[in-house]
Amino acid sequence: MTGVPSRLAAGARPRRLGAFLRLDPSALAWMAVVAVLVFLVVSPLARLLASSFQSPETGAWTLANYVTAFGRMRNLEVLGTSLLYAGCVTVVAVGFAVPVAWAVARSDMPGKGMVRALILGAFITPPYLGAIGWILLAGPNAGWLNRAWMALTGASGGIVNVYSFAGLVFVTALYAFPYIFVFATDALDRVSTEMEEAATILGASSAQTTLRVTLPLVTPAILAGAIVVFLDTVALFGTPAIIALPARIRVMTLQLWQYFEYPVRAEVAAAYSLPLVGITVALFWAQRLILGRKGYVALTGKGGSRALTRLGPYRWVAFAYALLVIALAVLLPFAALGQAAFSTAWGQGFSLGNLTLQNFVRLATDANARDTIGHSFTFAAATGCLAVLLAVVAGYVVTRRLMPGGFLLGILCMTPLVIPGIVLAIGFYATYSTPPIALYGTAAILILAFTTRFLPIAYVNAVAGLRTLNPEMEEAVRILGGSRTRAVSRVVVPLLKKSLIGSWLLVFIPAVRELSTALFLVGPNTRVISVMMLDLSENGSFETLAALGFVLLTVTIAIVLLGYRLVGRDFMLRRS
Amino acid sequence: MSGGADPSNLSLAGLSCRYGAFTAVDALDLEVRAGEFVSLLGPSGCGKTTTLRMIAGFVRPTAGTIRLDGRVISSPGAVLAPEKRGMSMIFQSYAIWPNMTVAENVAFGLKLRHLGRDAIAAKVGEILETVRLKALADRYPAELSGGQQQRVALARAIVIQPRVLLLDEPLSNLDANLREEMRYEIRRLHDVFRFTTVYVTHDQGEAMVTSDRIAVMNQGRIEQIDAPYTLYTRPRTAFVARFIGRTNLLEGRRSGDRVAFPGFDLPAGMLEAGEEAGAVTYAVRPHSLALSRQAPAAGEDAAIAVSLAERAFLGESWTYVVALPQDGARLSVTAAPSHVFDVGDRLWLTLDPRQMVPLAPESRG
Amino acid sequence: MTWTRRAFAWTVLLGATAPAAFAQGAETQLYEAAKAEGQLTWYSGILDQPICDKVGQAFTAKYPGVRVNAIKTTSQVAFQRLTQDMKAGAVQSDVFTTTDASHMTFLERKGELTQYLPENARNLADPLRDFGSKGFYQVSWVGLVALVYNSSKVKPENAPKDWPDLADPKWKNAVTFGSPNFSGMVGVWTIAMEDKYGWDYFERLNKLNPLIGRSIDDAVTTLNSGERLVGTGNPATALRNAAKGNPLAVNYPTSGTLGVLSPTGILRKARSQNAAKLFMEFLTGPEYSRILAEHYEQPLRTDVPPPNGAKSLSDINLFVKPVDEIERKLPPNKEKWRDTFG
Repeated sequence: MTGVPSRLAAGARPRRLGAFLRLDPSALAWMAVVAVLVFLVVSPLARLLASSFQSPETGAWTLANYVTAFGRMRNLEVLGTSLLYAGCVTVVAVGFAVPVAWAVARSDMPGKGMVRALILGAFITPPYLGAIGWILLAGPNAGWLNRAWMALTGASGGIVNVYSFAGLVFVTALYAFPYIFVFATDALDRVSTEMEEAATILGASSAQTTLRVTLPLVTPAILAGAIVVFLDTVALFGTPAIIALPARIRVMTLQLWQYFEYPVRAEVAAAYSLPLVGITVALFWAQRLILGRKGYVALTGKGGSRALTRLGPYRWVAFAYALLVIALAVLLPFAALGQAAFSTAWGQGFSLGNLTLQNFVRLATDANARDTIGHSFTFAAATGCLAVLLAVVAGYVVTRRLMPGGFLLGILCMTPLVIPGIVLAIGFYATYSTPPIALYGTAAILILAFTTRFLPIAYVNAVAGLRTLNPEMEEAVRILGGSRTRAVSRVVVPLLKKSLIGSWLLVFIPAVRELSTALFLVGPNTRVISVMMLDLSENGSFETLAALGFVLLTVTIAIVLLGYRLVGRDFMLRRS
Repeated sequence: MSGGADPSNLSLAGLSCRYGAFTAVDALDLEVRAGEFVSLLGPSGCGKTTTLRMIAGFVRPTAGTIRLDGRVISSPGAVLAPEKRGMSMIFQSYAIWPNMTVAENVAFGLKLRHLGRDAIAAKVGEILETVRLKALADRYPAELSGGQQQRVALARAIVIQPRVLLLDEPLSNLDANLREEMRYEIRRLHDVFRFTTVYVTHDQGEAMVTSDRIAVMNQGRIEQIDAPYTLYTRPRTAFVARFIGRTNLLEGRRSGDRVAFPGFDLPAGMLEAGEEAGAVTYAVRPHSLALSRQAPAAGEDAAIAVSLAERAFLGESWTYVVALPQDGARLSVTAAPSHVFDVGDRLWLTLDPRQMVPLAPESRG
Repeated sequence: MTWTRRAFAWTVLLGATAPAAFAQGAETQLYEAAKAEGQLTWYSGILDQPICDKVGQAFTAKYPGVRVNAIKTTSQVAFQRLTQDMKAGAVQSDVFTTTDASHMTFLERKGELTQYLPENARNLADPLRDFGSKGFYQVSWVGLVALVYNSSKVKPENAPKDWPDLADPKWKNAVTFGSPNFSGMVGVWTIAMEDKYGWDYFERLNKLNPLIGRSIDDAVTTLNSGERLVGTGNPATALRNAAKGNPLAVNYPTSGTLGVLSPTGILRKARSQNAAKLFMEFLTGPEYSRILAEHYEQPLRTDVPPPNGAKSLSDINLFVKPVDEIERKLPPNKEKWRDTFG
């Protein structure tokens, strides 16, 4: 290309809004969707922001909430611990995700379908359920692994202790790494083999090619996944409540919880969590810095092709590693949970007399339980669709620079993830439970809140996908007489189909298991699985809880496999 | 806008495009007649792609207007959306959609024009025949070679019978042989369909083969616009002379009725020259110069004693580089394969003053 | 006000004039007015959703035409939601039950509660009746804190019998309990233990390297898994699990079992005032206590027998902590807890 690069040229989109609107009617639709989006995120956040600067009694403006939240060394230390925790989890999660993602997407490792399905199984497992599984496995006195170790070696103590910082990081990473896995496989699927062949022909070995060419090409995707993991971990409550607390480790979400004990100080909670938005912004600057001006994987419209790296005997090494990861994340903990799910009384341990299907029968025959399971899946599915739609529109507006201030729109789309669910839910409840928009008790408020909460995941993925598309493919539609809307529906969406289904899953899965937002917003006819699990754990019905976990796992894997089938013919792969 | 409109005439007046402090296109004027093939030729960054994208409606001008058949389609205040211009465009990346087959790619624009299913099939079949892709109609783009992809892009653009056809460096991704072949293909298709065409390229060969007229662009302006022959034989600026073919520049100084060059001088009357005294620059093509061992007989032509500095044999010709006696300035000379000289030979250089083209003084940088 | 004066007031106000059951005339009147309202919404911080639904259905079965929308969440969430509703001037719930009695005294101080003394409240167990005598709220759930142990690993004769036994050095690495920072019941327990034995009690517990969970029920799960052997927990949860065959057993401490009272109140700005009053009658009546007993919860009335394996409120040397004392002592105890346990 000569002259001014087309991206720069595309950036010179009309500055004068009036003329723009007059001349491009489909722009009205874009604007409307962006407005909805802003409304969905901005108004709850604005409410939180306002309340964080107000005295709850008088409504007067004050900084007192921030002083309460950050004025004590102890609270700052807790914040530091949270960041360290999230950082460690991110690193470990990358270690779990990237090698397996590469092996699944680019090598001839056996058993790929199973590995993919079980990794999504890890994803669907609510972190608190996985944490319970790991307590059964690695509890210092009675954990299975420790008892096995003691039985084998005759040692007097176990070797692993889940109640430690390492245990906390490890268990959290096991249920967070699928984010990175999904992002990375999606990008790796698109790297053209020619890029790898170019390195090979210059004398690079397979390993060098992978490390120096393939992985750097998908760095943006890995980084995007890592950011999501980091933010999600900062706001995570379930695992810390179960593991960090007994391990005497204090993290931010545990601290936050205490602001909801009497005397309730929700505004201090808001003050405590809003500065996390700053962390989001900082992460994005860091991302820009790391990626710099390098070009990355691009789908040019000239097509590409792909061949798999032949690992020879090493494919069994790759398989062993993948198996290890899924064993740690799914097979072992679910074996431990399975003991409970199929027991009359799980505390009795294994015995034939203790075996039962009663817990599953109870779930299947209880109309309430059936409704609840149905709600979770339908709400999550609707959330997935809505979030992907909004994310594609927002991502498109930002990447194609259709309006000024795109960077801000991007930040806005990214912030909800880092706001702890309970705090976001308060903002939501305050905004959407009273007239003029009284949605409380409806499915809509849950779907909208889930959409807001998980929009960042869909957004990150949509932007990553859109960046790989050459804008000329849309311009080709327009110059032939098609509107922007048509360019998106006929070209952008089909080309990103796989990536969008990935986005949908990335939203769907956490929406199925989301607890903290749901807890605040469920009504009598809109109960969801996570809330039911909380009930079950509170009254000690651990057998039913484990059975419900199994149902969740099985149904989700079925949905995921169906999703993959729906993707259909993969037109990008010529030589796979 | 329905397909099959007659070719339109396109008029760019005072067209500018600024990005902050950087001026990509600077008060550009251009008239493209209906059915004419005009190339925008220039080096990277000269503003040719921006100009093309303004014609397409992707970029809004900061000043000036674009008219299509007299109607304003772009001005700083209002830009008609690209989809409403009835144009089509071939992109540097081809931008053929990998999710659609060859036939679906080509049929896309026709479907937008609400043609019947049969009419679409007929037109698609016809155009694929024309670009010799009929057998590949059901393939996906990833299954085609670069040249085939290029022809899909061509077919997709011309099947809608655009009012204006725009091409943005369409051949730059092809290998040399294919590029050579596709130039003629593009010209052949233009001769068949006679669309008003604007073609952006940095390759003078492509422009010369395909175009009715070539606009040479430099720093956001058109330096000269003319038919290929005129452009080659009568370049108006040093930039154009250098950009189109190879050329020698001779710096001279006119005083009285003679013009002095390094090592020789000529009577002003023999040269095309302005009235004023002072520095003048002439372009002279390498094949307008001749070399000989003996001093030629005195005549119309000027003869200068030179020494041969370099030589290269290109098969169809020799390229010699000779050094002028006075300041050692070098000139290229093209000679027939039979005229063989050796480096270091002392020779006579003959130049025909009628083939020396005076150039306008450099206006900028 | 002393117990005798209160009892006297009860007797004069109700006992002397009304028959043993809820007065027929008053009930009919209230029911007619409630039917006109048609439904009520109950924010519940107690039990679980299926039991709350069952309570609602039983109420509707008794009073056809008055529907109950029971919404179970945690007390903190329910209260937070209520606060938001009041701020917005649109109170969505009629009746509110919380495990944190401070919520009720707060609402009472703000004048947000309807004063109504249910006639059925006369037949609640003594300490429970006393709690709601001003008529702003009534006890709807008693969370007991007792000693729980893993019965497959600890013989009954070795199990702790009273609170100080828990701090015995032989339970090194074997004790578990919840945290006052996350559980109101555990919070009240810290106050009770400090009163009885001084804070030193917790210093001694800390030397045993206890496993500290979040809620009072985390201890039961930890004991069931065998990870720890003895702890403090709610007998209801322990007995419910033991009934399925899990190796759990309860010892009601000899020096007294702690009761943490969860009150229910009617919101003054709620729409269905009559239905709410009728529901208060129901919650203090025998049907509700029977539902509780069916689910291994402690019945509130002495005329309803306790669930299998559990003891009646009158047999466990029950003691409770007044709300004002809890409000006063809990915040410093949370701080002390952090100092002791980190």
